[in-house]
This record gives sequence, C-alpha cells and structure tokens, in this order.
Amino acid sequence: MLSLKKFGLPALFFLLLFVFVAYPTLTVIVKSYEYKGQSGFGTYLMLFTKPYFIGLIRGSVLIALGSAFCSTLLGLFLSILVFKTGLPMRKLVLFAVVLPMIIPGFVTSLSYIFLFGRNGLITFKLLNLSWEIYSWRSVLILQTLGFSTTTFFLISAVLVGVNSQTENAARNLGANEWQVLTTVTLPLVRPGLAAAFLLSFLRSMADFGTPFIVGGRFNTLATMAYTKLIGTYDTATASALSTVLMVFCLIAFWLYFRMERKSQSFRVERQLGGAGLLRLPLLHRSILVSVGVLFSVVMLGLLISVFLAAFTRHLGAGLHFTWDHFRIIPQQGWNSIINTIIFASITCLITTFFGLVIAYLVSRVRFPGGRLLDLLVTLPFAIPGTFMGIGYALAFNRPPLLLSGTWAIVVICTVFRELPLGFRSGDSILKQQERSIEQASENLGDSKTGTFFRIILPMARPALMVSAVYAYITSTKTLGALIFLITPGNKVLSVDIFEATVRGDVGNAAAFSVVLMMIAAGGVGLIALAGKRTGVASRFKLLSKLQIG
Amino acid sequence: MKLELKGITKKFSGKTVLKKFSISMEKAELCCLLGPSGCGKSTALKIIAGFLKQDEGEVCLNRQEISLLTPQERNVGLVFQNYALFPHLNVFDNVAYGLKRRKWRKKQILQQVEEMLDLVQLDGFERRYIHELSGGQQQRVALARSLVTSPDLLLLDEPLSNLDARLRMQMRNEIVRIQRKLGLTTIYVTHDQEEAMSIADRVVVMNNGMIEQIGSPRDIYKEPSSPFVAGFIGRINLLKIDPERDRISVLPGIPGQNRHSARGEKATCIIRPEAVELSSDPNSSLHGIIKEITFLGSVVHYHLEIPDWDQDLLAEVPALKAGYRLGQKLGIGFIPEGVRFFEQ
Repeated sequence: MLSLKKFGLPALFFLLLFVFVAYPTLTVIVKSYEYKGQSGFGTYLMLFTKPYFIGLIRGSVLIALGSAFCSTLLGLFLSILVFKTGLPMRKLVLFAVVLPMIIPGFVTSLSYIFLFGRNGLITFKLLNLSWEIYSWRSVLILQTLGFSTTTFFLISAVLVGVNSQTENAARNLGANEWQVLTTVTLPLVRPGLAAAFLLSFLRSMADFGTPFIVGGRFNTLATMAYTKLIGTYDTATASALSTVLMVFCLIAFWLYFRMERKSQSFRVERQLGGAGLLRLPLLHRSILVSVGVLFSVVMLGLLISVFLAAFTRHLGAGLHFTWDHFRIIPQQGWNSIINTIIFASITCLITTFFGLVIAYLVSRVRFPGGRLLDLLVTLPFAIPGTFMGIGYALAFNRPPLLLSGTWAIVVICTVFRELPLGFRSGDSILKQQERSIEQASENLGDSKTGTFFRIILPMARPALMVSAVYAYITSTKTLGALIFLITPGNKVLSVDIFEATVRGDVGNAAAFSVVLMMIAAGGVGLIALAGKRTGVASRFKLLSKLQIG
Repeated sequence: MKLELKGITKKFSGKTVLKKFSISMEKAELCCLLGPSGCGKSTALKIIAGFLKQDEGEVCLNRQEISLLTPQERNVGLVFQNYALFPHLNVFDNVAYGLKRRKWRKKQILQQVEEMLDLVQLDGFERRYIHELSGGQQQRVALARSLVTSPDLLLLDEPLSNLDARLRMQMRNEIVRIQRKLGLTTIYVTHDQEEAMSIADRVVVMNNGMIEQIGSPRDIYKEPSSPFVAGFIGRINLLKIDPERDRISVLPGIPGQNRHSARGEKATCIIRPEAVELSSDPNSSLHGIIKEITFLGSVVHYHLEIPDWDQDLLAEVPALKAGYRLGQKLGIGFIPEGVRFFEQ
C-alpha cells in the first residue's frame, strides 16, 4: 500500500532536484551546443582543434594530477607522523592540518601573495628577491597545501583502522619496522590513498579561486569559463569549457564511487588493537618530522600573515598597526557579513535536515526510483562550482523561474551544492543506528514519521551537529558557484574577498578574511562543543566521511 | 626445543598480571595454559613472542636467554586469536610472507608453501583471498603461515574461539595431528577446559597471574590441588564443612572426612556429580528429594534437595540408568574417588 506520504515526499524531492540540479545542468550543456549564435558543434570543434584550448585542457589536467599526487603524498606523510609514530609534535601538526578547513583557498592565496609577492614581506622586504609569483607553480603549491586537510582525513581514517595485530603478525614473521610499513600497513591503506588522489584531482580541476588569483597567465578550464562569460559574455564557449571540465570531474568521481563500493568487501577488520605505533629508524623519522614541521610552519605563517595584512600598513620602511582596512566594513561590508551568516545558517539547516530525510527515504522506505534519487542527490559532488554557477545564471534569468539577482538564487544554489554532504552524513548516521531500535518503536505503535522525529532525529543529534557545522563552514567558503550569481544587493564575504584580492587591495581583502575566518572558527568551536558528547573517534570518522566538496 | 620461563613477573598500571610464573617444557610437548579471562595466559604468550617485556624473570629457549631479542629475531610461530591474516594478500602470499622476509629463493618458497598447504589440507586454495574463506579455512591458513618457517616453538592464542562448536572439535584434532607429526613444542592458550583436557599433554591451570597446578589432564581432574582447580575443570558440588554447625559433617560412605570432623576443623569438600549414587534404598542414612531434572543426552542431572543441608546436591547419572521422577525421595551415597577434602 503506497500512501500519499510515501509517494508524495519522494516525488517532491525528485521535482526539486530536477528543477534545481538537472535543469541548470542541461541548460549549460544545451548552451554549449551553439556556435556564433547557431546550433552546432562548432564550439567543441574549436576547443579540440585550436592549440590554445588544447593547451588549456592539458594544463588543467596536468596541474590536477600534480596537485593530487603532491597532496596525497603530503597527507600520507602527515597521517603517518600523527598516528603511527609517538612523536611529540603530533598536536601541532594536527592543528596545522585542520587550518585549511577554516581558511578558504582564496585566503591562503592572499596570504601567499602578501608574503611572497612582488611586494611580498618575505621575498621583497626580507630577502630582496624578485620572482614571478603568478604562475602554475604557485597554483600547485597552494592546492597541495589546501587539499592536505582532505587527504589527511581520508588517509587517516583508513590508517587508524589497520589492526595492530596484523602488523604484529608481520613482525612475528620476521619483518622489520620499515617492512611492516611497506608490506602490510601501506597496502592496506591503498583505498584511502586512491580516494584522496581522485578527490584532490576533482577539486583541482574544479578549483576557480586559486588559479584565478595566483595563476597569472596560466589558465584552467574553470578560470577561462569565467573570463569568457563575464568578460565577453560568450555563453557558448563558457558552457562548452564548463562541460568539458564536468566530464573530467564526472570520470574522476565515478572512479572514486566505484572504488568505494569495491572496497567494502576488502574491509579491514577493525577490532581490539587499534592503531599500533611503528618504531621507524632515525632517518625515516627525521624525514617525517621535517615534513611535519615545515608544513606546520608554512600553514601558521600563512595564517599569521592574514592578520598581518589586515592590521598593518606599509609606510616607508616598516609596518605600522592600523584599523584602516577594517573601516570599509561599516561602509560596504556589513551587508556581506550579515548575508554570509544568514545564507550559511539557512543552508546548513536545510541541507542537514533534508539530507537526513532523503537518506531516510532512500534507505528505509521502499519506493520506485530510490536509486535514481540517490544518484541525483549525490551528483552535485561531481559538478564543478563554476558549472553550477553558470547553469543557474543561464537557467534562471528568464520566466517562469526568474530568480537571478535575488538572494533566493544564492541560497538555493548553495543548498543544492551542499545537499550531497547532508545526504552523505545522514546516510552514514543511519547506517550506524540500530535498526532494531526503530523496529521497537514501530512495534510499540509509533508511525514511521513519528519514529523519525521521536527516535531517529534525537539519537542522531550529536552527529548531525558535526555535519551541520561542517556544512556551515563550507557554505561560507563557496566562491566558484556564487561568482556568477552575486549582485550588489546580495553580496557575500567570499566574493568580496575575491574581488578585493583581484583589485590588488590586499589590506581590505585581508580584513574581510579575518572576519570570515572568525565566522568559520566560531563554527569549528561549535563542533568541538557538540563533539564532546560523541567522543573523538566518531567525530573523526564522520569528519573523514565529509571530506568532499 | 626446550622452553623455560623462570620467575616471570609482569605488571600493568599497578596490577600484577603475572606473578613469578615459571614453567619448563619438554621437547614436542603440547602444553595448555588454561584459566579464566584475565589470568595472564595471553600475557605470558606475548612475553614469549617478544611483544611484551617482562618486569622480572628470564625466558630461555634451549638454555639461551632470548628476552633481548626483538619479535622479528625470535623464531617463534604465533597464531593469533583473530588470525591476523593479511587481507590484501592471497593465501599463498600470506603463507609465504615469513619466507620472503628470510630472503628464501622463489623456487624454495614455492616448494615449502605447497608442502605447508598440503599439511593443513588447503592445496588448491593458493589464489584465494582471505575474505573468500570460511572461518575454519582461515584458521588453517594462519596455522600454515606460522609453521612454514620451521619455528622452534609454536604459540597458539585461543585459536578456536571464533569457530562454532562442531568446527572447533574438528580443528583441534587437526592441530594436534599436525603438532604430533612435526614434533613441535607447543603452547596452547585457552579458557575452554574441555579443549585443554582433550589435547594437552600437560595442563597449566592459572588464576590471577599464578599457577594453580601443573599436571596431565587426568591428574588435574582426579587430584585437583585446590577447590579452584577442581571447580574449573568439570562440574563439582562445593560443600563447606563446619563441625561446629554439625550439619554436613557426616557424608555416608566417605572415610576421609572423619579426620577433619574428629579434629573439629573446617574444611571444603568437593564432590563430583558422577560420584553421587542414588538408590531407592529406604535404609540409607542420607535422603534427598528430586527438585529438578535436566536431560543432557548421554547423562541426566538431578538436583536434590536434602533436609538439613543449605544447598542442593547435583547428581549425574548415565541416561540409560536414570528413571527417577520429580519429587521422588531417594537414598544418597558417595564414591570415595570422587570426593576430596581441602583445608580452609
């Protein structure tokens, strides 16, 4: 018997997803099938024959591969350092690796310029060097640093699960510590490495802010799409570039998805034993420590320089403290701050709650098209932010859904971009809950809906808090999608920072960044509070599951 | 290979887990460490294997102190409770692992591994992965892996606790068969007394880090050195004898107890259920009424309520001879061999 509720709710979600995910996506793809005002593959022909565009695609892919490789390696080193050696600086490294969560990519780019740019604090003032900071090298460096949080969490989650008994078995059979690491521990971590690599590749391809700010003459598909649309309003080329970009991202995501499914059977038995320490030789330990210390120093340096840039002004020979950069806030910035907080709050509430509802529908309620819903909700993971942004800009600038220029379009776009995250966390929360508890509730007379609100939701609350705050932080950092949707009436901090940086107004950009980071740090503080109830282990596991997007 | 543990003591955060633990093992002997959870048996194994360092005492293999050797350097075969097989390697590579670490040549490895798999009856399984195997098969891979390097000593830490009852019986016979064939000195840790009794040459009964008794299964059962050992192996009726209360001081048919009651001493009395004889004899000096009957297949358990006693008596009777009914009043006698007295 299919009640209205059973049918109605999924149907509603299908409709919403179709309108706000599928429709914009199709709009972009359709737009790309246009050349100089007429239908045809002309644009694609141009993309794949003109050497400039071929070079663009190649450059994007190469940088993505490079960043993926470097950030995965870095994440691995840091994971081993923090979890497999007993060295005292673990807490420092752990702190440093969490920083990119609250410092958005475009802010680290800003710091980077402040320190190493033409007028950079270190390169110019201290060392009197002059080098070309705006190049693909800087993109590679910054992306590697920025993605390290993700790779670290993904790899750590798997690394910690390697049973120390298995490592002991290897020792018993004659393996020395290094051999234990290379023949037993690392092979078992491989799924984590592959996941980290694929996701970093995806993020790099989709990355807009960093390449745009520090890329210089190096362009990626994402940045060129922006230039074509905003600069010359060449919707066809912008759409085509975005579609090609999306194809790469989809491939990477599909590989990741497939691999996750396969690794279920490979699951290492997580039992008593936990993460065992490796007693590595001095040389190896030194290398790990060096990497850890260098990383921490760089990240802290970048963090500090944001504050330096925000609170100082360069006059003549030295730096002087000033509030000047913050003065702009009462004039222009209040709006953005309020908008950022409101939009992020709305987004996190909606995505967390409805993510759980959809997860509940998909896993507990049988209805036709369940798998399709699962797919549609997860799809925005793979769609680059710029693609969605262009899609929304093109799809909703005409009736019946004339949303462009409103705050609604900003919120809706962010909601649907974050929804996969809410769904994923809801799914993982439900998987951990005992079915028998829900069955007991129904056996005692409660309806499915009642069970959801009275049993499932309260039990899931601690974990939901974690994912809600994570969604909140991620919303504040969104740039690529919103860059096409912002109008003077509904600005947000991320775009303000971006525009100020591009203008060269480092001081103002830094001031806004400080405000943004405080908003984000407030969120992290809330996770810590909520997490006190659930305990470190589950908090950690959940964080690793959320490392997408 | 002769193994000797001399006065091993180990403490964990203030709690003494092993107290002056000493045993000496003969070559090709299968010795069981038997005891309840937390008695220190697994700790003793880990010390022998080198994963824990003892606070006091020596570990000697063939008269050589091995305490300073790392786990890698000791040639000791170890089968873990959860097998600890390598999930990313197939059966062949799992078994070959120890040989690769010893840098054997490929051909030799192939030969040796095949021999081992044959021994544990897993030939043909080389390419399978661990998750494709049943519990019993995984157990055998773990065993093969530990034996392939021809260790001086084999240690097994509750290897069968993850298997169901039937499989457990099969596998323990397998282990004994292999152990005898290879003549390997073996220490087997278990909390299952039936398991220990059925396979051990010698049993070491442990409690709270100390050895309660060492002996053959027969000796441990028939002549337990303390109420704990008696109670741990098989079932018992435990009686407190207190001459001052003059209640249970007289057990019909048992000569030994008179010593204690004559001296007016308190004692603990152990009576094996199979040593309780029931009859319809009205002239018996001790009577009881059947309160509960449990049919166990080959034997029947009768719980008897005895006037003046403050506890019930458990009697075990072969099923073919048991025909009593609930509420029936029966005469009770005892077989002396199944009764023992311990001073308090």
